[in-house]
Amino acid sequence: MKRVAYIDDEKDERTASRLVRKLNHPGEFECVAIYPPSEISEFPPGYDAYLLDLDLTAQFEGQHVSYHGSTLAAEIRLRYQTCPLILVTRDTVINRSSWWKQMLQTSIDVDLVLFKEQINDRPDEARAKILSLIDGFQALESIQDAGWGKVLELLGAEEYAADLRVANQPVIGNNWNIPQVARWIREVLLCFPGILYDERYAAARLGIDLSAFQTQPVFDFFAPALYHGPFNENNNYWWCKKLLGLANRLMLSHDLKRTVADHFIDAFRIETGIELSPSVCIWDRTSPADRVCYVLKSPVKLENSIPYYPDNRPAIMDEARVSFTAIRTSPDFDKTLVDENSLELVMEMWD
Amino acid sequence: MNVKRAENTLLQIGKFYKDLLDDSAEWILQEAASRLIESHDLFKAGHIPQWGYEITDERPLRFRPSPIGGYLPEVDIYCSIKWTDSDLPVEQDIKIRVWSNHHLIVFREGIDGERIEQELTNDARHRSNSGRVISRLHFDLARHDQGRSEQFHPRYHLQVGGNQREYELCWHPKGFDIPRIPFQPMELFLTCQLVAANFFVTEYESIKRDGVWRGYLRHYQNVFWLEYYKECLKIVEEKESLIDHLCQSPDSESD
Repeated sequence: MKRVAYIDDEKDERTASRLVRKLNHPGEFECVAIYPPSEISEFPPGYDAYLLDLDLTAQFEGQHVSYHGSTLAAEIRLRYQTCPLILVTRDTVINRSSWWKQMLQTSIDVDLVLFKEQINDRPDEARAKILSLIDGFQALESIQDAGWGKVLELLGAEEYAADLRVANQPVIGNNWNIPQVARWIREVLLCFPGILYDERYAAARLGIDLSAFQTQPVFDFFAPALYHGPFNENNNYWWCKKLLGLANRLMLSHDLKRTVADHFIDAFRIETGIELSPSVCIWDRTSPADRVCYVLKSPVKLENSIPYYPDNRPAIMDEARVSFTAIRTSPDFDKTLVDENSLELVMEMWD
Repeated sequence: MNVKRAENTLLQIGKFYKDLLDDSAEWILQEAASRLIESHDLFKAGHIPQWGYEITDERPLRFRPSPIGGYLPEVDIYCSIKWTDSDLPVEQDIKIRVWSNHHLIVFREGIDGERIEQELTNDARHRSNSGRVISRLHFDLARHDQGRSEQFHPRYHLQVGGNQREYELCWHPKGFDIPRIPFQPMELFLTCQLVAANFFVTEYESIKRDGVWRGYLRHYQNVFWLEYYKECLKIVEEKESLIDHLCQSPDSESD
């Protein structure tokens, strides 16, 4: 049973109470609404996680506090590094200015920003995110006095230590802290494809359709490559090298020599008699398409896409690519995120 | 050869030559490294007779167009390199192809036939960026223990031409693969150096200053070339025929 405090300056049915009720799940997850303490250091201890309303400055029971939820988060973080902190707000509030949103989302004192609309509309999903955070923090807490090698062990990543070393891992010497490592796992390791793949990237890399990748025989075949570390939020991830290794080993046993995207499908058919659908390029409808368009999240061939720079992923991760289809049709494509060499091609495509 | 060293070499090639290689290269090298590891496991378990990797002609290690030579040549490499227990491979089959799509040489009026013209304008042709192969080199290791050819066949040799593919529309006459020129043993790191030094002169000047690159170079020169050149020197000092000596298999040398 996980116990979570929801600190809000309003407890009426319109806000906090309703969200608390939505999140509660008897026997598994208990959420309690609490007013913010008048003295910031007097927050109630002993919870597995804290949900903090961003704006705590309204009047409640004749008093009010002069700090924001993010300020309280900093105070709690300083005292309990082992406890995940979740900022709760409305989409309209955080989006008032882009720098504010960016600053809160990247603050080391805030592990997750949840929107009230999100909790209201999809409470199970919100609860799963919170539980994943709690479980992950507790897993890290269990090894908090050990060296970095233990973190790698927890991730199941001992054999990928060299790759992780160049993936901006938050360790100095042998020293690390829980919130930074938690953030790194969630926002680097699991977020950017390269060392780990989610099912969409894994399917494309193997040259097969996402639905083919999701079938039980394929899932079973690649089970040894599954990530069993913390923070996966019930999603599956696979170690890229292991995934390629399993595919290559099968191809070797059937003397198939081209790339995994070209030949895994044949090797799997010979081995199991099962015909898998190939991944199809969103631009020219040919197969196999082994990259994923960052904007449209669909398979695309290398030659039908260009490099895209939407984030600050480490160089060890796979380069983001954007498909010609997205360039032509998607309002989400941003031409300021392509390099100088590709910009000319973009302008040609727009003519 | 140490399998970890061989794996690291493949991955490091992607880093050393990142600015010279095509976007596809990183994954080509990654997959070759993966195949190397898996085949080594199978070799150790006794399931296969050799371990190593292949980079196929359909998915070669492709370099960016070179500014050298005026015809915007595009170089690619494909290869099959296999080991058993020693440092030197038992299979060394490396090809360098030089492609060009330059209008002055891609179709030569009065020399090239109608089929070439049709192929050059065929969208469905194998190589997506078309052009044709204007030069083709094969660094080969003759396995004299698997039967000797009647022809002059140095153990390690370089051939021009070789077993060209239809889609290459290669300039070189098909099936004509002599002379075989005695050459030192090669592998992918040393082949990439050869390409960089010839086709990317400015960039190569900066690559060769890298300490890690120099470490790899020392290793491969030591393993692949030191004994080879010591042997060459010995034969020359003994006033024997070097070319004839290089045609002998290692077994016959000790006879």
